[in-house]
Amino acid sequence: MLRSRMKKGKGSTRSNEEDFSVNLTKQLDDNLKNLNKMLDNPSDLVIRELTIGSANHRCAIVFIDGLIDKKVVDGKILKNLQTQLQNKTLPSSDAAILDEVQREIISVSHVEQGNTLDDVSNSILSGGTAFYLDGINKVLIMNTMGWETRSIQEPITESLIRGPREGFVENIGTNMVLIRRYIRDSNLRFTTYKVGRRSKKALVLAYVDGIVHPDIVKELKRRLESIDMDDAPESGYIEQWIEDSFLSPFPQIFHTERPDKVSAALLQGKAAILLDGTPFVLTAPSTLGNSFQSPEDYYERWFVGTLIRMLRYGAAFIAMFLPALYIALVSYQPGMIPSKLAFSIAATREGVPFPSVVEAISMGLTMELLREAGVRLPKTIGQTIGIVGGLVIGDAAVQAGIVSPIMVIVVALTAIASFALPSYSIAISFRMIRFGFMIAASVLGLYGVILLYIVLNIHIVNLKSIGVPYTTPFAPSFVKDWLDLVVRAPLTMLTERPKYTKPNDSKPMDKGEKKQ
Amino acid sequence: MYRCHLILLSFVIFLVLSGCWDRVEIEQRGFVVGVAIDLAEEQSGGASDGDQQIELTLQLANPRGLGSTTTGGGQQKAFLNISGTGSSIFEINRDMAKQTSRTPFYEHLKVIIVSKELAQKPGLFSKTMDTFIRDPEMRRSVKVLVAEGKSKNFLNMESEQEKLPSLKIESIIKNTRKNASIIEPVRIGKVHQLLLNRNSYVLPTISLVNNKLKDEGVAVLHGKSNVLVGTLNKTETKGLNFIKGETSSGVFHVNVDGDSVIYEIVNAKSKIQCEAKSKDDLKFTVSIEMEGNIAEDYGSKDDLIDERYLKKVESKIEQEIKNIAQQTIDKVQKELKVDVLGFDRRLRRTDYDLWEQVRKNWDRGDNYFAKSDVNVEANAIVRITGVADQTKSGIIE
Repeated sequence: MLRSRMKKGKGSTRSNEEDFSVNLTKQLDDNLKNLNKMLDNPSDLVIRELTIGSANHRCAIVFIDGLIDKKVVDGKILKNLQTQLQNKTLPSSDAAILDEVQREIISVSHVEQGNTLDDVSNSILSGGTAFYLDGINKVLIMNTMGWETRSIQEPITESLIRGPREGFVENIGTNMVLIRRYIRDSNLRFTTYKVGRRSKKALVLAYVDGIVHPDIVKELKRRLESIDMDDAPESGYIEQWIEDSFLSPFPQIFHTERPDKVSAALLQGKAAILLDGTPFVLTAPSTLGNSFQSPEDYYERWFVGTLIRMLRYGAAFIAMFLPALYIALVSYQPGMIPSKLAFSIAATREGVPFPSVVEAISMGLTMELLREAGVRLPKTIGQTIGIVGGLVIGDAAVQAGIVSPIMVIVVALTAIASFALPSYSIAISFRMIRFGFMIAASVLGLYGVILLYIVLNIHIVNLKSIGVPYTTPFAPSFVKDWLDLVVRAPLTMLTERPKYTKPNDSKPMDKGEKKQ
Repeated sequence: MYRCHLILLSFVIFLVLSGCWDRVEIEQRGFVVGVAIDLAEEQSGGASDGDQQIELTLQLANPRGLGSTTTGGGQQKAFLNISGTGSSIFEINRDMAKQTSRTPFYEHLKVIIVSKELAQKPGLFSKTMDTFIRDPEMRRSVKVLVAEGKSKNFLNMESEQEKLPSLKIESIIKNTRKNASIIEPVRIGKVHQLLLNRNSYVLPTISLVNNKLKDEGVAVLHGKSNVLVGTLNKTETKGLNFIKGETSSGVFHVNVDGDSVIYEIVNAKSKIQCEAKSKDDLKFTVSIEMEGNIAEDYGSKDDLIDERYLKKVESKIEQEIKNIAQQTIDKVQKELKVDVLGFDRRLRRTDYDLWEQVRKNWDRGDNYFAKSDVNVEANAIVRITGVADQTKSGIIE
């Protein structure tokens, strides 16, 4: 189903010894020998030879065991060949026989003719079946792909209380179907690429023609075509290859497991990148504001959506600044803490042997360790270890007088706040930057925090995602887009697509249409 | 590449060399919450260079003694008072660093208590205030008080609900809303302004009775010399508040037909009008308008709904207001001869040319203030008589 041009390194998979022909010959035996030689007699290569027609014309079907759907190959190809062509008088020319087989015999939807050995090998290595006929240098290539796949499940990393429960799977075909089911528009475009010199993974660039700005598609295509690697096991490879700045701590292309999120992005004038073998779909261009948006904001009524979104902005602030502010205030500017709080912080810190920055960084690292360990551990004990570890370590450290109780509160609050962000990758960057702020605070106090904040601001207003400034619609201001930024205006007011993607078709959407 | 390294290195050097120099962890700071300034007993300094020796007492909070649950405070004292003597606050302060392991930190300072004796010495009050105004570590919101007697005793007094005497003083003087006989706390920022102006002003006073804090009355300071010239008692302070229109609440007590009626002030306004014909013929009219409720009525023989009775109550209240205000004016104008009522500002706005003539002799020299005529008018309104009409007369049976 995913036949397309192979971009790079055409034929580079062949071994150096040129002891077989690249082109198909008219002799079936030579063809089969060539194929066997090319793949070096793999044990899972199945060559089924048979004769058809009254004249006992020799032919063969070739596939790789495990990649094909046995039901299709046995029932729709082999059986038809054997039963319908038995004792039938076939046309005299071999080309006509091949034509008849293609048109009348094989009950598979995708069949086409191939001319080269590469066509055959590429096809059978991705689950196709090739039909060789003796006496002609052409083959039929049939799509019989069929292997065990995961069924559609609820996305684990992005579960919602309210909203569709289906998430993307590893199979790109299923993923495309999922998107098609959301956008039944004739302008929905899927452009297919093959990435990976060796893996030849299917990659699909999806966009809605007429909504997306052509420059975005053009730029994405240019970048996708520049990809040159052996394998792309996950869409993270694609993301890192095509992102604007690899030095930035911020992710410039967001990923999601949710088809509703992708379809909403497509309708906003963005493009999506699907990669075979991963449930994570990239949406580009992405902006900082997008990282605070969750589909649920739109599924709940706008009051709720707005409040939750504001809460997330608060959470982002806490995740990034709270430990740094604590350090700055405690070590440099205790005058800015309300008196009684200052006294109680001083009381709890009495006897703590470390300066607050050491305390904060070590607790922060402990927190990250616990998180990392929690991911590695099996799910059943992972949670327990996480909670118990946190409690025990936190409590014991306080009891032992190594850290102050307020520090534990600060660290815990920071961790909770960072996990409240809907985008995991941006939460990670925030947590990372947090350490920078801690060091700045420990060196220069609040002044240092402000300085680093300015530096960070300079960076993010410079940052771009596929040419779209990262801080839109904040920094290049698109006032109309603010309706769906910190607040989430009622859906009846959100009738226009965001301006910052410069959609071709900015005319009002249908009222009530879902939009992200 | 070498250049790049050099730039990077210089950044690191900037950070390492400049950073952390003023880092003091919160638990290493000595939080000064209260300052008491007294005249030093003469034997210590010996008045070496003719300067008046002063005694500075700092109250440092002891966070551990303040007792949070984890640290199990309570056994330790919540504060530590340290004293030093010298001729300037800053010098004493530096000297005091020897007495405590923690460097004094003033950003949480709440109150500065100046003894009355000190404020009576010419020039000393403004001198002692200087460092508290000048130093960037000082907050503009520190409250300034004048103490009867030794001010350092206030930092040692019993304070039941608050563990720190300074915090207790601070919270008590903020209770102006419930009491008409104390004035709004004066913040050091305001003191700065007062010292720069030539206007006379008042500062709240506190006194100790049986080691208990009593907060009433004000100290009157002369504008030009910044010397304490006298004090106003409780009633006079009330009158001062009425005249300046600074009472928003408070209670007072009138006698109607031999029975007590308690009137609770809800809203009070005052207006000072000036009639200035010449510098020897200055006439000020103070109109006080008051709204309030009947809080308690011990008489209740008469119907509060009765217009005539209510009018009688109101006129009694007006009479009382006039009395109190007049008492204050007599004291301020005739006895202390210092204008703390704001008449100078009123005159300046009414007739600037005339004000320019009398400015230098307003409440000093010829003292035109003392010579002016002052008339008090009062208007009291009873807004709410309460939900009960009568409580004990025998009408309802």
